Amino acid sequence: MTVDAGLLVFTGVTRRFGSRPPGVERGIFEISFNVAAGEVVGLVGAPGSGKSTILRLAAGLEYPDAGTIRVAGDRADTPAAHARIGLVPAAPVFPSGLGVRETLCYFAALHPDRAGSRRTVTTALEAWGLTGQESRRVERLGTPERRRLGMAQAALGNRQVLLLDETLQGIDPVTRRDLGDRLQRFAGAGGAVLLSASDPVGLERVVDRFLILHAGRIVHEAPAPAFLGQRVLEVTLDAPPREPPPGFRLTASGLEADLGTRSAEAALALCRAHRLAVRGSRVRLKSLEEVAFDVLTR
Amino acid sequence: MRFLRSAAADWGLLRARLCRSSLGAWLALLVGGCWAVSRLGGSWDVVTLAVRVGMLAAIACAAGLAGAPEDRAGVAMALCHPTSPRAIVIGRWFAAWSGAVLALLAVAALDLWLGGATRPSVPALAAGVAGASAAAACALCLVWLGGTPLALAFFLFLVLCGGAPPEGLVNLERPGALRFAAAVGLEVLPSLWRYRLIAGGDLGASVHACAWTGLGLLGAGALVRRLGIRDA
Repeated sequence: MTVDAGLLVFTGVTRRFGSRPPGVERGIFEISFNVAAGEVVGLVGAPGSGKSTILRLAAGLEYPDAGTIRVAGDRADTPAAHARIGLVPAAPVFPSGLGVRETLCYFAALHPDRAGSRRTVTTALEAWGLTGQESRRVERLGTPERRRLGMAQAALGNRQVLLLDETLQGIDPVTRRDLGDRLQRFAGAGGAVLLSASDPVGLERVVDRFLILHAGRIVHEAPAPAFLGQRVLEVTLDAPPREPPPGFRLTASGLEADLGTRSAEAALALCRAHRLAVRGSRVRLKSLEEVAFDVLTR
Repeated sequence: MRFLRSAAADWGLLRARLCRSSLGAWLALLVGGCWAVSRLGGSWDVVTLAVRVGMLAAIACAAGLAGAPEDRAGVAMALCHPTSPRAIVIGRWFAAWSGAVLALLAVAALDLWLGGATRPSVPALAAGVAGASAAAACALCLVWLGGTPLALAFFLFLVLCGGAPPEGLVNLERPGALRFAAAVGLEVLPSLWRYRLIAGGDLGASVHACAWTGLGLLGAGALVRRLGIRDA
């Protein structure tokens, strides 16, 4: 069987849900993308845009109405694909009464390589920052530790593809940075990661390529450098103008404008031409949140 | 061999729940209570005691292993690993059944040690094991359908009228709808009166237990498939 360009390949995938209210179709429609080995891809979209559906389809927990999903060349709903792909749901639930190591042993026991399960569990504990927490009961874990445990169980058994549903959301920046570094290490070792987020804050450092999803369709796709390289000119004014110059928008402290291919000097000259008292200015890169907002409200 | 791996995983879960959750205490209470009733009351023979302990312990274990909301939601996590709904069901059934067999062995040991009016026998234990198998499969189906309350209803049904044969309930001039429904339940569902007959070599009762084990596992498999899709 030939392996496609990516470890995870979606080709024209459609999954429809009941039409409620009548006439409004929900689901995902003709989604095509791939995630290559060594790549971390961010799936950004509002709640209900279809991110979790894409992840469940990739994990083989649902079936597409049309199109194909392949994991390292195998169909996503086959045991071979199941052995290669791990999912961290948005709200991971673990069997209660077990410790962290026991929980990983429980999931490791479901894998074919039982002989190596003890070693696999120890490796997973180290790889996802759970060393020293082995005996803590899972119901007493905080959100960051639960996320670590979710990622550790998903990566058990030498998984090649990780699917993370909002896993880096709602945690402190230190943990997010740490988990992001560990994800990049996983990708660096030849893995592929598909990471969904409704709030893109904090993904800039982790993700290599972004897919923006809206109403079940990919509306924008770009590598992170191209996505995040857009410049914005911020201008601080002594007094806010009644009307911003063309291409500018009002902010709390003055104005700002997307520079595009313009120079900052040309944009500032436009401010001066409108007789605005410029106190200061700076050029910064657009944040992922701004880019996603622009794409989704375009 | 996925079901063997699942059984091994769920055996670990049973051990943890017996030691750290209230399941261990409930089973101990059940074993001690049934043994005390059989010894003090004197109306239960060794087969009745074994079947009663086996079936009730199987329901308690199924509820303790799969009845909590997080256990039901956790099925989706397990399905993200190289396993299948059927393997998960068989693993969980094996764990519930194992817990019931442990309870049976405990009551037999108690009988031998404290010298009750009855003495455990192999046919009685076999009837208890068969009853536990059917009850565990049905109870799993029920807990995945509606959680612990449904398992509790099944438990109470067996405690209150599971020992009486259905003829005893409808052998009246006007049995009433409730008695009639209970009699139908006793005729169709796994029940103590029927599985007692296994100890005497009744083939029909053995087939009934096997059929309910299979049906329960099939139904539970379908429910797990649905839970996995809904909760992932």
